[in-house]
Amino acid sequence: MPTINLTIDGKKVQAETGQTVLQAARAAGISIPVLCDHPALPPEGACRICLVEVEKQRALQPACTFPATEGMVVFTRSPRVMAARKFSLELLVSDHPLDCMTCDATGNCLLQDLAYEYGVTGDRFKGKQHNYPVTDPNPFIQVDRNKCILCRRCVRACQFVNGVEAISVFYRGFNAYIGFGADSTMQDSPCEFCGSCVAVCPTAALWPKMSIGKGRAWQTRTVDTICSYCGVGCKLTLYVRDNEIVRVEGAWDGPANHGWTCVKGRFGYDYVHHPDRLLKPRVRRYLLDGKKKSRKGAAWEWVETDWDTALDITARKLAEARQASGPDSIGVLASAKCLNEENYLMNKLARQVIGTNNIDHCARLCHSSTVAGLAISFGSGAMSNSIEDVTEQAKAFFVIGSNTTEQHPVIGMRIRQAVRQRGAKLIVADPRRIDLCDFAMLHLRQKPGTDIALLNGLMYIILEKGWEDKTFIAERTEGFEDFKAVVMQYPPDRVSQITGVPVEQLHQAAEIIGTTRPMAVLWAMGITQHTTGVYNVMTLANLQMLTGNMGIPGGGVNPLRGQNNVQGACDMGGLPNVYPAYQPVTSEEARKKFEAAWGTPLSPDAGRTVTELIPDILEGKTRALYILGEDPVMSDPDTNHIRKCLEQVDFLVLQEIFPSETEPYADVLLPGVSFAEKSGTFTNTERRVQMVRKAVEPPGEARPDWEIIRDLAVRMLAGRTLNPDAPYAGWNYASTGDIMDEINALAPSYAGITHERLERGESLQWPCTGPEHPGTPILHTQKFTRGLGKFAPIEHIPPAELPDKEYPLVLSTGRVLYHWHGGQMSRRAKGLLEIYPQPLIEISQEDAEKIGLNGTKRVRVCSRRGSIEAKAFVTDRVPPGMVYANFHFPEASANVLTIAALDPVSKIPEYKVCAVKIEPVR
Amino acid sequence: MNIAERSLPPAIEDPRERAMLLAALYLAQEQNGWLTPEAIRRVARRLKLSEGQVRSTASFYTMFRLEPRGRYHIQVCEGLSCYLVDGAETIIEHVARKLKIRPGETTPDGRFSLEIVQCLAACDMAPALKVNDELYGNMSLAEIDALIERLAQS
Amino acid sequence: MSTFEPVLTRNTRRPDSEKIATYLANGGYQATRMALKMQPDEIIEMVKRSGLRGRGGAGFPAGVKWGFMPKDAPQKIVAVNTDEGEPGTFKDREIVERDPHSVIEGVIIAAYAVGANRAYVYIRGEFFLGVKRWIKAIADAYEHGFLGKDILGSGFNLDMSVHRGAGAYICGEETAMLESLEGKPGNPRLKPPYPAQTGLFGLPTLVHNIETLACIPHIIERGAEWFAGIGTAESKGPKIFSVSGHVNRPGNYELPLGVSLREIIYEHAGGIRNGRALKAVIPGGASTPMLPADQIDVPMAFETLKAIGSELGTGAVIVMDESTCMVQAARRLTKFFAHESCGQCTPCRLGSTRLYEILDRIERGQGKKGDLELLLETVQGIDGTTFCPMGAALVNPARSAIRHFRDEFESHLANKRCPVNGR
Repeated sequence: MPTINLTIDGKKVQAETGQTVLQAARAAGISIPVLCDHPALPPEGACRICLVEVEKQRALQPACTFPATEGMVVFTRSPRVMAARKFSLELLVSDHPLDCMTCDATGNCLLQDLAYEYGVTGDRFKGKQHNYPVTDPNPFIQVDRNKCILCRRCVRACQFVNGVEAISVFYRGFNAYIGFGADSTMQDSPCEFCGSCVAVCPTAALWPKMSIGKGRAWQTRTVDTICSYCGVGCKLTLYVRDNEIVRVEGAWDGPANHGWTCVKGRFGYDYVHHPDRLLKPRVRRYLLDGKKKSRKGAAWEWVETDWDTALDITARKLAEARQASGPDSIGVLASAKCLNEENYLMNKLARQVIGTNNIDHCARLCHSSTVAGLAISFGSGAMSNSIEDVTEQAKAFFVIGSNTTEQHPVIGMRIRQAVRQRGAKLIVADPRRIDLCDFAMLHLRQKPGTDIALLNGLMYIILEKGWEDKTFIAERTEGFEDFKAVVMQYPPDRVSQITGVPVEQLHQAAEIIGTTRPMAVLWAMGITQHTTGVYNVMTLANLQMLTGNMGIPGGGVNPLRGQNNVQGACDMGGLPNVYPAYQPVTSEEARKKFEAAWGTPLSPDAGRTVTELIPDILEGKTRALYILGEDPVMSDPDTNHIRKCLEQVDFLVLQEIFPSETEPYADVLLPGVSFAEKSGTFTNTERRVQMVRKAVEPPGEARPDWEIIRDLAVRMLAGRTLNPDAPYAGWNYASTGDIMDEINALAPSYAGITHERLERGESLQWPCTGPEHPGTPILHTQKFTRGLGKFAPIEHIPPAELPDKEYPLVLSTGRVLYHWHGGQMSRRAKGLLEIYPQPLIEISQEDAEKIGLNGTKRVRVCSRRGSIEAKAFVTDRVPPGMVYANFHFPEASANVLTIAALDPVSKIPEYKVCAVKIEPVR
Repeated sequence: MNIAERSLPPAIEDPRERAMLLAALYLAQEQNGWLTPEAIRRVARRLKLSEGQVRSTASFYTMFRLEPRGRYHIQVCEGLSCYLVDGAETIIEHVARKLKIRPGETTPDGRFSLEIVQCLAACDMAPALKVNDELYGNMSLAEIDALIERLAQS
Repeated sequence: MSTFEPVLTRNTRRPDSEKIATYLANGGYQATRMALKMQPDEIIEMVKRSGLRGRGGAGFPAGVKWGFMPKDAPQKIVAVNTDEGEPGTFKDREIVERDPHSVIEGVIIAAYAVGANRAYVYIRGEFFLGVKRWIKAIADAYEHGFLGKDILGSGFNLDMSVHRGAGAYICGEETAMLESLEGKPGNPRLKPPYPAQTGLFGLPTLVHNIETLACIPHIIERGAEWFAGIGTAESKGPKIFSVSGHVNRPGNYELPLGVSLREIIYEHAGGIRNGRALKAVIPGGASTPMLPADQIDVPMAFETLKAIGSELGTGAVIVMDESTCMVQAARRLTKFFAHESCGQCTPCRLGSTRLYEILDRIERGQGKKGDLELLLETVQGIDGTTFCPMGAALVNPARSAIRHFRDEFESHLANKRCPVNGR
């Protein structure tokens, strides 16, 4: 950038060409007040508060839009400027309530600050004042138009940041006001309650309802941490007063979110303070009485107890099971909601203390097929690129099986920004008309479970047209010819027949995918949760190798991970086949390394997955379970069967923050803490390790999970001898930092990721192999982990359970924007529950008519495994022949219906396809 | 919240399509004399715009009506030139008295509504007024009375 | 009374003047035939030499504006501004309703000169008759081969359509008009970029007032020198003056620029009604500063009006006799501007209403001590601080009324009633 020289307030200043006067002044440390300007939004030039005097210009000029030029002389505080600013402020205050005494924004209000600085009282102009009712009924955002200064920051945020354009200005002049949708309530508008408008509002015109009366800026302290919902890893700032989180904002320096959040991140935090929180350890009475297990009567009553008692009982019962049936009779479920450090300890507890590789967690249910599939194709299985380069640089997006705006909302927003602001091309492939389709050039509506055929068909056309990247194929891959032979079996006609996608659309999509570079593929559960999950993923890997989109910014394979720390839980060895950093338990070298580190012999056999461990209870292969922060009753397929299994387990320890749906089956309940009550790290979907910081004290006697695991391990190890020379045999951790030191030593891809570096503000993505290593934003740039990328010939295989006469519809399952998985957190967030209070079953108009269902009635959905009843939501989001249900509500969870048909390699269940029938509830 | 009813703005906008909005609003307004919520919805759907975009645009312009009005919408100019030749308030007060409504109101039978408007670019014919799209210049109070009588009969 | 052969209005008084047959029978479309045989740059040079300046209010040299249009852009647009909303102005209405073809010719020539293939005519919503006649006129022009593909065998293509405004004075501001053409609220755009770089639909756009374009065929037919021979040193050509208020013959008068205000009022418009004395004149539409009676010998030209602190504006002359309360006049004009503020920027959105409120209470005899100073402070606060030129315009009635008739304001404040009409 060429530099230009200008003078601001007599000071020689340098700026870059294209910078505004405001940017130049800020860079030089000269402050110019603003109201409508916001660094994260395009400038508006409307409030006229940033007016400055520019030599040779008759009128005062707005610094926020006026370009800095060579030799320019600017005065930012001349008498004329100060008078003009004061004039505009007098006007604004003349139509603004002077209720600063009770206003929540006091101390955090740009208008108030400027009125103070410029001595503005609002007395100068007495005249008409607006008196708008403050009545918007939504649960999240208070809309007080009387405090609005028409800066239109919210309008721009909704347009440029979120992309739904729910906010507009209605009428004009003095009568202009901010309104929502077709000038109705926020709830009746396309608003998604991401709260970006609240984040940028300079006054209290838009204010979080949950924060009203909870404390002013100076009464709170702030803690920067990471969101506990999805895998995007938004950096949040928690405002805390008297040990209560009173407000949440996105942190502007968050690498994944740049200050933006979704509704759950910004408004879904109150579960932390919910009265249902577990406050004291509980054990079943039979355990205290030293009797045999009985699930009936007084023996099965919960008794609150102290930590020593609970931990002693737990250690004793687990030791007994290990003694009686061997270490492999115990299963350990780590938690994708917990810290890296805690998952590392769970891995160590299972392998070192118990002596089994039977450790798994919910990654099995979401992206185990991704991890397995990419490992086969490339040698390692994680999102290859970063949110930043994908959303800022991809010229085309191919989103398949990801309802991005609802499941990874901030990435969804950033895709919408890419489409809207820089014209990126978007193709969505999804059986459902998800919201992102409104932004797509093309929506391919394939039949559920036909992704391989669809992708092969697209690759057929790409090959036929010669759009493949021949250089990349020749230099970076192997297996191309075998792969090609299979793909050539998928001409458009056949593919159209299998998938239901019109031939013409196949050609259109293939052209965009084949000729636009860089092109990023994004996927989630729609690809992974199939009996062909691994093959689906490998087919996407084929596509990105074929088009040469691997290892480049804006391209790559981008599985969007579900839970806040599901990436980390995998990285930390929360899987039955690998130690931390994916060192295989079946590799002798790796085993020796960990045996030397932990000072004890380790099992050489891969453990069992969660989808095996629980069903194995019925066969007596699993005797005891230690579950950390998971809720298999809600999250695993075929709920009725899961319940039956859990009833039979000898001993179940559940470490939780709420009495979940799994709680009735637990023998011991250990109260852990939420993300806001402990410090450590989460790893987001793009492999970025970020600091989580304690904001409030845990409620009651709840304890950080790593402390509980540590104390349990210490008890179980009592009396056992470990190799005294082993450096990491002990469990003497005083903090999660101590645990991270051990991870640095044993997990090569985390070797350089220390708490110290993260606290210094470094942002690190693994692999980060040493203290000087800068981290790796993009994988596979020079070569693949396995050397050459492997093309695999993959044929279409139909789903396990297809519709038939008796069960004529396909059920697909998933989540909605306002809830989270089993719903233990989101159903305890007041606003989220208010806006989405009950399960809804999506049904097409055609099917609704067929069964004689009137739009508002309830519907019963039955599969071979169970049935649920819920309110029907008749919509074109699902095609005829398909219904869609979520698993957020125990009263009608989709998983009562789903089938436990597993992918043979990754053991992921086929949540996305099973056969059901529907009938109206009379 | 009604997910089904969400109407999002177009992401890939054909600007020429949106350019038809004002014309489409005129057409829609002809149907009922004002822009009903249903009319707004239909215009939005037809031009692939959000209802917010349509309504906020409509509300900016004085010739679009977001509330019902009379079959004969009398618009009296209060521009300077009309005032100077004893029009404006004199006429407004006269019509208001005659129709027994205030500016902004509609007669109970829905036949007449009265509105004060800014300059009609008919200052050479001051005092001027409009009934719906028809311009009437050089209007004396007697002529206005006759006009209203005529419209009342029609 | 001096005689001046009408140029712009030569057709408008004929019967059926809006019809293409009438237009053709009187030599219509000859200029188009001539122009399409010329080089585009030749035409631009000719317009520059003619000294034609924009008739919409700002008076920017037309030829210079044409020169700003990029040569290499593949798509360019001409947009015609007929959103005549300036109180006192009704010149465009006459052309719109009675002589659409002269403007169509002007547009064809301008489009050919700057290389535009698309033209939009934005007509004020209230001109319902004009819109109807334009739709017909454009259809006829297509039928006769003056619009569409390969116009008159020249290889030049031009499509044209009419857009009807819907009641917003601000859409007379060129970028607000572009927003409105795009189907959006008429909020002015940030400048730069100027329309010549990024205009309608993001394409380079030449925006002109209808009267400016009506001059073009005459310049082509009679030559730049003929045009430059009319008027004053810096204001060339004929101009339509709309005269209204307390005159005997209100109406449009086409006269050479430079004609004195006195001549317009007393010779052409028949003098003041009822034999009353002249008190004040607004020379160029509501947004131009008013002049007291002793300044009416000023020639009506850009430079001469500027020299005495007013503007030519649209050339709309509003005449006020001795019975007029100047506080009332200022109040009424300010109310108009407050009503028409788009609301985008603070000083205009709130300032215009506050300005009106102060004038209103002074006029009603409820003014307070210090209100005159507050008025001047408000004028000062709005002028030169707003997003678009509306701010500078909206303060003119109040400021000029105080400048020339301060005693009337003081009397209202002191005596709580009007010194002119006693109310």
